[in-house]
Amino acid sequence: MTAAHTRVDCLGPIPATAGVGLRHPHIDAFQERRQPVGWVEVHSENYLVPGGPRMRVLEKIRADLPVSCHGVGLSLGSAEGLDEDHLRRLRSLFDRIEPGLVSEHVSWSVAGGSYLNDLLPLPYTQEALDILCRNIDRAQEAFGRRILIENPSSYLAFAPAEMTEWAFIAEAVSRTGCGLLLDVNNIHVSAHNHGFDAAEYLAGVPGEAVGEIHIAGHAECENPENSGAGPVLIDDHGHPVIEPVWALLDAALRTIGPCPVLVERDMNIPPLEDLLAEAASAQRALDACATDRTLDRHVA
Amino acid sequence: MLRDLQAEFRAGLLTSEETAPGRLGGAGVIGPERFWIYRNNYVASLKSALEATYPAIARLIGAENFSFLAHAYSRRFPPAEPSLHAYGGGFADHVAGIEAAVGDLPFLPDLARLEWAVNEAYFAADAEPLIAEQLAALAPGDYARLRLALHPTARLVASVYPVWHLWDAEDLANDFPAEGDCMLVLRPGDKVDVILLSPGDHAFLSALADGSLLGEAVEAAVAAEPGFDLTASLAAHLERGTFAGFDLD
Repeated sequence: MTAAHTRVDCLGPIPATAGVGLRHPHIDAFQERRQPVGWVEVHSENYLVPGGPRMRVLEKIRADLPVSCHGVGLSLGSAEGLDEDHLRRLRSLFDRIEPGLVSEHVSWSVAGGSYLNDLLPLPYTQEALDILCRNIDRAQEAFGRRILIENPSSYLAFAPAEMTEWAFIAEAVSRTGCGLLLDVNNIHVSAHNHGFDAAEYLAGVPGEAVGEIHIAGHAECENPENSGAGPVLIDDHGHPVIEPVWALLDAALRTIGPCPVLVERDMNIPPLEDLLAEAASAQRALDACATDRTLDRHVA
Repeated sequence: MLRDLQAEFRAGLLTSEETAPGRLGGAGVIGPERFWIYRNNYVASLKSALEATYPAIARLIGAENFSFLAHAYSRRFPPAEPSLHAYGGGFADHVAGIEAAVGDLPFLPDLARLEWAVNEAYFAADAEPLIAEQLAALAPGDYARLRLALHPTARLVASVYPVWHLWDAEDLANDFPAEGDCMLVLRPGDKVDVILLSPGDHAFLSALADGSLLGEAVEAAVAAEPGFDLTASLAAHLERGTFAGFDLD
């Protein structure tokens, strides 16, 4: 069998089911057998390698499960534009893996040619919106496909803001035709940190553009230089998903309808069973949403 | 301007001062007292990346010393590309310039060079190793024109310190040999091997890596080690997959 033949097993879109982020400690379990989860997501930058076992393993897993490629290094919000070499390397990864979805963030990480290894906040201004849209256009052109952009979590903001974060994102989606990766944990974290209403955020984003939802856990941290402002929420992907975030997932699914839901975990990575149990909870939320919508139709 | 905001944000991240910028690129900052979170994420995440690439150094010098070296490195040399497995190639030179580190532990830069070679070998391009049968087909006269190509994952490291012994040591309490080590780092399949070489063998492979003909490489080997045994060396390297191909001059 040729390489071209082994590649076609799991083509097609990511299903509207629960998936998990594929992380190093769980790789062996996924290699040994197909795990009870609808799909997996990887960080694209971890697979930009000339050779070695890492890529072989991913090719093996993708024969069992659909794979989504989630970028963490493109820096769509950079004023200096995108790195053309990085775009080329990503394109060649996507050509090889044929991911069901490709996503990136509404943030920046590159300045002065340095990659700052974080998803840093943008000011919500017309200038930043123009730059973001120009970069999304370039990425979609280089990849030859539509991408999803993820709403960020952040700890500080810039003033004066010319629009809300959700209006900024809605406008980027509308101008570029890209889709939205709605991270409901990020909404919860930023709503707390910046004092806005998560429900207003949900109502302000274009539901029809949502192609994927992320859920994750976060940490609560007392600010050492705090002036009585209360704890700050830190989006560390290092804890189980908490109840308010599950509630936001339910609310989002009620508005948007069933779509792929990913459980993200990057720190304090638990045994695979624990992660799969969270994915099973997400699947129950998806099932409940499908049932509700069927009932709604009958009532109507 | 966004460009100025990002340049000033970058400068703020890379400093060890605990300042809270009130303005960035002309924009007001809401929540400047939280800037430390970004500064913290930056050094902590890159320290983890360096720890994954330099586990022996991290183990031998301990968490606190490693953090000191890693934080200083990441502030001085931010990553130039977004794939973290490519980050940290200058760590050996950085450590060599820190007197507090190399004063007590002069082997650290060479141990870092070995660990970087292991990291490079892990991610380098794959290739089918050259096997003995492919060489057996050559006519005896061809050996004079033979140029062996090392496997794309092969890396050569030599040190006046016993870094091969230090590399998998649990701590520094053991007795280490007084003389240095020569090593070949190689990943013929999924696993990286770190192989101790004799000085002649190291000179032999180094000459081949520089593109020397077989005869020239043997001369270099004998100069380093008068008793160098070509037949035994070739057989061992063909067995472990050190070569990926050959040319005839």
